Amino acid sequence: MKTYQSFKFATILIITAVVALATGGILKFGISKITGTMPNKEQAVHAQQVDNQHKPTPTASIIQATQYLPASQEQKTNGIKFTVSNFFVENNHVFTDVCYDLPGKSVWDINAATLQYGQLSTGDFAVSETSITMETDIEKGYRCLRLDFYNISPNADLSSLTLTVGNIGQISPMEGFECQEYTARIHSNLKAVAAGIKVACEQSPSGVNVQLIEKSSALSENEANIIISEAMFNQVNGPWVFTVTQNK
Amino acid sequence: MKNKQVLNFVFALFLAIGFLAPWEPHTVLAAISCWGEGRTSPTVLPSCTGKFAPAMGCTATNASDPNYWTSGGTKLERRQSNNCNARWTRATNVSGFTRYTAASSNYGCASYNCGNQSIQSGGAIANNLQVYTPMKGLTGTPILSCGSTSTSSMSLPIYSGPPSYLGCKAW
Repeated sequence: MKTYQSFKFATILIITAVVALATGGILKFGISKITGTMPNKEQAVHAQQVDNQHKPTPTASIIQATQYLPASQEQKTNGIKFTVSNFFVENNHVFTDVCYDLPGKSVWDINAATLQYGQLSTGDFAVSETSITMETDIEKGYRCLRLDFYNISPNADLSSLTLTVGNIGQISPMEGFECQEYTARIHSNLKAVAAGIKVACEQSPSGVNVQLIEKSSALSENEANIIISEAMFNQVNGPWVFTVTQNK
Repeated sequence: MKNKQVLNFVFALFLAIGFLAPWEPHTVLAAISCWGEGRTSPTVLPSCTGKFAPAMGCTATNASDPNYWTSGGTKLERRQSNNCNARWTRATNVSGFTRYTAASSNYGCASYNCGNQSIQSGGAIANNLQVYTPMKGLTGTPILSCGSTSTSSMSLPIYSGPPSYLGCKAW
């Protein structure tokens, strides 16, 4: 009789566990469907950041025989080190690989770069990210891009190339979060805080308008606007300049 | 009495296993107000085409292209919302000066010139500020993203036609 009761108890336990696990699974699936892919606030603001775990090691890629020399160059300006390598020409495009330090725990884009070739120059380029390592408490962030100067004049003299990177700037906030992000950047900027700067930010359907509402009297409006702009975009100015010549 | 104890134990076990073991915390977030070119199932949602992403709860996801390109002092980005199944174009003034800034998502016909979603800043905007177009619902029709900056107001759409589509990108 006692054995029968123990067997009955064990059977009830097993059935209960199976039913409970199934119920939990169904609940989990249902909630995943409801929440979909909407990011939370933190993810939303930094939506362009990429997953480090699935990125290759941040080294400039060498994909073919060196067309230009020196093959690799480094330069440090305003605390940011740039490494440039692997210039090559293909189908009237000039490509090069660049890697640079990220100044903080976010992503910075190259916003201005020009390529001078012969007597001509172009500032039109396309960017493909090849790797990124986000800043941690013990390691600086690092990003590698391939630049594609796609607007090269046909039959131009490409024997010598000079790449000038003008600046890097923190990526724009995600759409709809501009005011939240820009205001946070301004209010956490030491220079802006010291200058007593306060701004009003107006979110419109397709962009934002940031206006100065308060500043220290020692500061002109123009000076205050420059500080606001620096705080909003965290731009680091170069130039970083690299010249290469064709490897004959 | 013993049966009641067993039942209580089973009930407690049910709660412990069923609700804790397979559970992962999720944040319940705001619903979207449009989907692609519209849908009828599982809920009826209107088309996203012509609407701005933030107003519709559409967010650019990590699937958004991390790549970008510059053309004549304009930085252009292809933006995509997976939760709304729609795309748009974002243009940033990187000219170094205060400029009118405009962007277009062109689509349709053989040369992307049968429809567009376009936007221009209300006036000249500061360097590094951006505008973005209304969305275009995804239908398999490619979009040609273009943009420009200028010292004066521009006529829309911003479009660079065939054969080169220079400064624009199809996707």
